[in-house]
Amino acid sequence: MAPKPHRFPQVADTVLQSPPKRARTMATESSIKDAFANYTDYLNLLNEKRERVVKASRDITINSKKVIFQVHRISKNNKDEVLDKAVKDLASVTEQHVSRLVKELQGTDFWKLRRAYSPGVQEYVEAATLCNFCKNGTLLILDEINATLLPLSDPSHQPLQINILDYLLGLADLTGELMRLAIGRISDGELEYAEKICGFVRDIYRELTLLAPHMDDNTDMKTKMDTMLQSVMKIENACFSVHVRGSEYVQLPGSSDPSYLLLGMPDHEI
Amino acid sequence: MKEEKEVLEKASSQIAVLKKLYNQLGVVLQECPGSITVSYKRTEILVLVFRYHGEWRSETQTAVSLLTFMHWLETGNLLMHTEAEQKLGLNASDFGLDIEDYLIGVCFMSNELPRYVVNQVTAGDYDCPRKVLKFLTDLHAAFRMLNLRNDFLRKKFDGMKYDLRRVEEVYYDVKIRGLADKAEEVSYDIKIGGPDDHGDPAGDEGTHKQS
Repeated sequence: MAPKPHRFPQVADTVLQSPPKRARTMATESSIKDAFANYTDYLNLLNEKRERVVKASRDITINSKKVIFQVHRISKNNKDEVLDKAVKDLASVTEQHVSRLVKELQGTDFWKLRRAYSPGVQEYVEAATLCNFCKNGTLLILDEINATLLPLSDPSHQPLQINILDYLLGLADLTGELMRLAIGRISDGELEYAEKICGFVRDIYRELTLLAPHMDDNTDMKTKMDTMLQSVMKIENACFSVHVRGSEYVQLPGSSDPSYLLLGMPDHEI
Repeated sequence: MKEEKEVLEKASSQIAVLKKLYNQLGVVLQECPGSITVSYKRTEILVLVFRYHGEWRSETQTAVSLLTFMHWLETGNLLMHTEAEQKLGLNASDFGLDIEDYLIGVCFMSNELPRYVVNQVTAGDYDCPRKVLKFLTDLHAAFRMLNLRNDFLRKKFDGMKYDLRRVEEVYYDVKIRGLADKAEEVSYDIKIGGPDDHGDPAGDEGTHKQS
């Protein structure tokens, strides 16, 4: 493929028409073309793969968010059915979307393409840990969540596992959702539940404070730690308000009038 | 001309240092416990190379840009990816030179060329713009073969056309003042002039300038 000088007719033509007595290495030009043809192939494959991973990651994000919204529908009376649906929805996210990553992230691509799938995986961890806390009151640890992913890959494939960095980042995001949950539970009159969440979030915050400095490339984590402290404080302040103003709250049987119960509490988003 | 050679030699000696440093980096990665990496029928080092690539990505791009610039100064040719990889003592099977890093490095090298050309002309080398223009035009044409997405590499490639434009401007400035023609005859004599060479076949030698 000859070089295309048509973009710069005035210049390139004169350049090419320089006196023949000048020795020129034509060989270099064609080897440049060959080399760049190889680079083109390499980049095409890489970029196409990246795009597939990004698309899968986006779908994982959207559907994990749906699971989280589902969990937030919890109220005093419908816990079991809400959570059952959430768990089911989470399972379908795993089967339909997380599974798409198995083939793409074989071998070194697992780390090479991390930027492409990390947001989706973080959201997924957030959803899975939230479901687990609501169902069992405990933290879903990395090994446990990875165990659920094993069935996705057949023996010929390297099993898809969540790496520790994405897990910890997802855990950081979990605290934000737990804050929302705690505030929601308080407005529903479930102070004890909210206090349980408070203790849980505090523990996570404490552990992550010690762990975060050891993470590679931890600028993301540093920002999340700041947000996390805000979440912890919001929950603590909400529990405090209810505790101190306990006498001002009247439990109306069977109803939950949020605005009434929130009298005297500072403004926060629910 | 002699000065240029000395400068290039001095710079070349640093390549060995770079090679050693990359080797050390490889050793560090190899000795890494790797207990929190995912490895499955792959060498540990390969996985770590990709996990921590960000730590040396921009440095590698800079190294490539300088190696390619030097190689061009020495030979007039573009340093290929595999050649650059070898110079740094890297190899594709474990700790290799990332192709995107190489291509971005080449773009950084192109950023240096307008400045180089301007200073060369000031120093009296009026043939330089023609050579650089030819090289950069070919390079840009080669890059146009790539099907780039909207990423950092694409941004750097877009910048290359401004480098090319600037070099063109310098080439014009030199040419319209007739400086380029004088330079062609002069440098032709310098390059070809040897005991067995019969000089200008057309027989219209201009001023003879000794280097």
